[in-house]
Formats: sequence, C-alpha cells, structure tokens
Amino acid sequence: MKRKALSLLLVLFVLLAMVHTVKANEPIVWTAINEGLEELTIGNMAIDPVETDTLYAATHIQQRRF
Amino acid sequence: MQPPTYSKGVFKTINGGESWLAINTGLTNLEARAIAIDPETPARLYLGTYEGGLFKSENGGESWSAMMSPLNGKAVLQIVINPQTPSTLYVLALDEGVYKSTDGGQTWALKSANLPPGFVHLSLAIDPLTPETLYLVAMGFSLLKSINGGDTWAPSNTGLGVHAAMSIAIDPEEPSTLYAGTMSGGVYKSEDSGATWTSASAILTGKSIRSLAIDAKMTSTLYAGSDNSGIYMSLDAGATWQEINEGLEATANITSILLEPKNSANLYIGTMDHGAFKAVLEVVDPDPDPDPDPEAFVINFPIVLRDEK
Repeated sequence: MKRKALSLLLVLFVLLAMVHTVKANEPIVWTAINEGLEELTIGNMAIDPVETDTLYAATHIQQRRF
Repeated sequence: MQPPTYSKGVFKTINGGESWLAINTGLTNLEARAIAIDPETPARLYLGTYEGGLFKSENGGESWSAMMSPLNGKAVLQIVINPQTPSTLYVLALDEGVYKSTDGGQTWALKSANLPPGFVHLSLAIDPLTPETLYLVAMGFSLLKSINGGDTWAPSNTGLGVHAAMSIAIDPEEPSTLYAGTMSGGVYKSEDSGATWTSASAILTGKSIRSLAIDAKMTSTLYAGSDNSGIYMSLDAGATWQEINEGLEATANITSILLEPKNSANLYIGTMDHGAFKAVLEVVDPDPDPDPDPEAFVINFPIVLRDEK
C-alpha cells in the first residue's frame, strides 16, 4: 500500500513538472531585422554585454574561400 | 588605398536591430569577417578583415584604427578575447594559424609551433574558467587542444570519426562539457574536456553545423546553426533537437548565433545572404530577477515550446 502511494506521488510529481516546463504551443518565429543593413552576408555578430540593445554585424561579400 | 566598393563593412544597432548604421570611419578594408567586444570595456572593439588585417575602436565603432601587426594583409577569421584578462587576445588567421597578444593587440606572437602544416583553421574557443585552455577547429584535422595558451597543440578528436569539426562551443558552467558542430555529422558532445566525443544529434545526421551557442543561464539549452537548413534547438543538452525555422528560408545558412546576456530569451542570428534575424522566446520565469547577473545559473527557468513536429 505504502509502495503504491509512493509510486502515485512520483507519477504526480513528474506530471506536474511537465506541466510546469512546457506550457503552450507558441512557435519560435524569426523576424528579419535588416533596416539599414546594406550587406546581407554576415560573417560575425557581437552584442554589448552591458547595453544589450547594441549589436554589431561584420559583413562581407559572399564569394570567398572561407 | 580605397576600400573595395562592393563591401559594406561593419554595422551597428542601438535598438536591438530595429535599424542599423554603417560604422566604417577609418577602415581601409570593408570585408569584415570577425568582430569582438572587450567584456570589461565594451566600447573597445576589435575587427578582423579579409586580407586587411586587424582594426581597433575605442569608441564603440565611431572610428577605427589599423593595428600594426604581423597580421597586416592577412585574412582574419575570428577574434577571441580572454574573458578573465581581456588584454589577452587570440586571432585566427587564414593559412597562418593562431596569433596571440597579451598587451591588447600592440604585439603579437604566432602560436602555431606544432600545428599540423597545410590545414585551414576555422574556429577557436577559449575555456572561460581556465583560459589557458583553447580548442581549435582545423579543416582536415578536426579538433586540436592547447592547455598552455597556444604554446603547444595536440589532437582532441577521438570519436569524431570521419566528421570534420566546423564549430565548437564550451559549457560556461561545466567547461569539461563541449559541443562540436561537424561537417555532415551534426553535433558531437564531449564530457571529458575533449578527450572523447560521441554523436549528440541523430536528427542532425547529415547536417553541417557551422555555428553553435549555449544559453549561459540554462546550459542544457543549445542552438545549432546549419549551413543549408536553418537552425535547431535542444533543451536537453543535445539529447534531442527540433527545427526552429519559422520565418527563415528553409535553406538558411546560419553564420552566427547570439543570446542576449541579460535575457537569453532574446535571440539573434546572422545568415550568409539574408541578413540578421531576431526571435523572442516565450518564457515564463517563475522567479524573475529584477537585476539579473549574466553569469548566474538559473534553475527552473521554463521555456514555452511548440509541439514537436
């Protein structure tokens, strides 16, 4: 009896954990952010660790070996 | 020398990507390949160009000055800054190998003494907790490791088999855990500091992974950017993956992945020929921190997900 109760508790815990971590079916949607970006081949990007709305994009032409 | 007119150089946004402005004053080469920010002085930037060497800015990119170095005229593919001592820099130069500076770029030394000759080096990563440890991705040789700041290198590719590594990422909390993006082999994982590797990506088999990122706030969350099929996400440290390509071209080539340091729900990617993209994850934080520490490891930080396809 005690073992069954423990198993039930374990199942309930797992179910609650699943509900807690996966809550809805919202997709991750990407939006282009290219206004003013005159070259669309980006070699590398960096983000300011303090002013996090500040980003940099290093761009170049595509026809290169690497 | 006038910069080539077909290259557009470096762009900056101060509003999270709503608009960009070119910041090329002082650059004599606009084929910008690599950019890095000093983590302690974010207005200090380093820029690597294709066959134009290195440039430095002390004012957030308002102006640049060429750095006199053996890298003049070289193609710089990547710049890595020691996070504990930002005056120590490593630069990956095409056909040359690794250069190191310990004085903020004033002087440089080639750190390719025992690197296998004739290999193209593609990517470099630094252990954030033990920054003398470096990992180097070399085309044709896969993966090499240095434990002395680049003085010597040794192979670190047991288990990768025929799959050449293209990219590498280090778990910031447990740096003995590494992920390698490979050519046509998806993602491989090591849990012993690169000594051995196993495939971590059945669904990604056949994919070439050229960019990788780890969520520093929840290190079981990974992102893998492919060279022709967009981007994938794992919420379980690489055990399973799902495509997250809504809004992207199906054949998107992902060159870089960034997570906002203070709020890793904000993602940015750079692509080969479609520019930059942003996504905001639907996140439910049960215990939001009003003044988050970017280094903090947040447990129980659930992410709202779509159903698996």
